[in-house]
Amino acid sequence: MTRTTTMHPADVQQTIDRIAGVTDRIAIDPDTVEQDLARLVLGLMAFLRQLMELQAIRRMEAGTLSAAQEEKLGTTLMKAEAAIHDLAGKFGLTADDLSLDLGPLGKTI
Amino acid sequence: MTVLGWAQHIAHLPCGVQHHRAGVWKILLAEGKPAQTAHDRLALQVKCFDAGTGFLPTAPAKAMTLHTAIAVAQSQALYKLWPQLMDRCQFSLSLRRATRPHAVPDDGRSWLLARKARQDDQNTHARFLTEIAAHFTLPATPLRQTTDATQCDFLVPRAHADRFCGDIRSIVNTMDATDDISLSVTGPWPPFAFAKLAQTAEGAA
Repeated sequence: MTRTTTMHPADVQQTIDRIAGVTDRIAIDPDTVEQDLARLVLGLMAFLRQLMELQAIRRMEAGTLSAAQEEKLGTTLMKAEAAIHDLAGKFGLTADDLSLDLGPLGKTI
Repeated sequence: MTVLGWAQHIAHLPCGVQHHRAGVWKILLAEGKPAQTAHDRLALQVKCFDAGTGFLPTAPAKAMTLHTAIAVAQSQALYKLWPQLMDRCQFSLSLRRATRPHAVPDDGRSWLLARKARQDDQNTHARFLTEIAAHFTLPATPLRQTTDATQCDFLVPRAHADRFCGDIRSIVNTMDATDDISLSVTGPWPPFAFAKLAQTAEGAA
């Protein structure tokens, strides 16, 4: 293990970004309604896609998928992720914006 | 006006910060030009935190109005949270794989295998952070997973900040891990991850 207990610039920046973005709850603002709705809908799509990814990994580990099925599932999930990120980009959203804060339930992704 | 948080006793306000009194509370505000971005607010909040032991920050991502901040100050929630967070700071731990893994796969099966490898990494990181957390009786947030790191925050008495870092160092030295995992500890921060009352009070307001 690299025993680092210091301030690596990238980690500090990431921590600052996370703290600055903390409590970014779902909010629909009249001035940015399109972006806010897009964030909500795409966030849910990203969440569902991730659930499918986890299920695909479980099935792969359990050996219940053939090589062709693994290829097909992997390709579908990979393209779905790219499509969601493309759509998010059109609304000025980043991949991180698609993580929805559900308060006590935690974040979706 | 940009609200930064609440304090009871801050002897010297940092440069660029003024206060508005609301009962026993001082609502700290950015002076002059509003702090437009979350990062601007965060920078000022860190200054306020460094200036005194008792400072409860607002969420930097959210620009709170003075009206809401006054309503929060008049609620009981602030009093309830104060004893838990006064004289406390936050340390953030981040565990990540030091080396960047492989190129982006272009076929479905490789992509799925890469995701499986990432999930395995996350599980390993979570195990290590859980092991570290088990050495402390301090309040901690649940683990958070990002694409390449696993993180959590600890609420530490400010007087024990140095000791906490030393303890982390000692614990990590006893742990058995591969060389490509790195742990970063950042802090002390204002206790953002533990100051949840502003949202609750604001939601109720």
